[in-house]
Amino acid sequence: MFDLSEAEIERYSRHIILPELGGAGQQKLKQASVLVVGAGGLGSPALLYLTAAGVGRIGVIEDDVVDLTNLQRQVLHGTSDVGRPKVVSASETMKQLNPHVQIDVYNQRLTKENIFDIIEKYDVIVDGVDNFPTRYLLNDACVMKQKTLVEGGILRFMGLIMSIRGGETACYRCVFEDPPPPGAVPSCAEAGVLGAVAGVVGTMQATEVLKILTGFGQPLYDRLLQFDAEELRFHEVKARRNPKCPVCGEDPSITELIEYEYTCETQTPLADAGGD
Amino acid sequence: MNQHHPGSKKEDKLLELEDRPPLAASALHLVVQGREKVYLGPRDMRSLLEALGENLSYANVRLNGTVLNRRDFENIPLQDGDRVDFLYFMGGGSCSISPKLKSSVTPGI
Repeated sequence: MFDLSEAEIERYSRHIILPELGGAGQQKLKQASVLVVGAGGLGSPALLYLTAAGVGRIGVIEDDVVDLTNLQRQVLHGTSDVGRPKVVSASETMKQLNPHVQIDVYNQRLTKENIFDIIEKYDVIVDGVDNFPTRYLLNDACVMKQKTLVEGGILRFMGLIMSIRGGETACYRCVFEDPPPPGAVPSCAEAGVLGAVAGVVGTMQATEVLKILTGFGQPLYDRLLQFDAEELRFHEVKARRNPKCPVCGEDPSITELIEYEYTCETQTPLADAGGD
Repeated sequence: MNQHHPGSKKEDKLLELEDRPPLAASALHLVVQGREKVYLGPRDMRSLLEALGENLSYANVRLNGTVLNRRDFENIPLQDGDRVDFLYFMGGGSCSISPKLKSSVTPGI
């Protein structure tokens, strides 16, 4: 049913030669579906590698347009794309990279009204968002629907990654129970981010997805990996499920989706237009 | 050194293991962010965080695997061998958020 064509076998030959993947693993990828939330700093490398790897169907959700300040890290988009919807630019780049991949485009923001309908269509979700409200919304929805989520975040020279099997392994709220206080955590627009750090973290997210879909290796479940580019160090923290977690604990207080409210505490002349 | 950055500020009270002086009686061996450190300051979490220059609003602090309540830092004693980890919030956009909820009800879940 998901047999690979001659062209696909040649295209994916460096995958197929890996005993851990082989032809069967490549077929699993072709059969699989992945949703990437955000086509920005993290979404760009994640989408590029998932597309190149031959994931059969890839969804991209993003409501922003390409801004000149995005191009230092959001490598899906080019200079001529400035002002165009990111999903359009992203899908064009992806189709050019691999025409065998089906691309679902959602030129909209993920909300509590649409999130269940959208995530249910995919096997694995990748978090490449640029704001905490959507990050918590995505975590909570994936826990409630028992979806697998690959978390990622970046700021300045740091990154984090964590894989979550909703309802089974530690979720984002098990580690970060509530969002940070208003204004406590600067954005990439305010504090900056080294573009290549987005590449490292987004590419690790893609790696996790490929492992989860094909079954090789040990996904980053119940582990939070922090990346420090300045010293080039990784620090892994065990992340156990928290019995008091408000969404996946024993007596959850969050049983219906909530959306936190945005308040722009800090004005910045360089408004961040994109997913990170 | 930016105050937001983890681990790169080396204070007199917090030394790399290999830099340690002849051990003072007050020296604590800690594992901070996975790295062995010798700490010579007051034995409470707030003092350690001050020595590290950590921005407390920016990260959760874990002591031996347990996330600490940030109001209690002064009352958290440190012991030899303690593991201290910082879990950094990352991934905000251009706006911060209010803890006030926009809505807590979603029909038809």
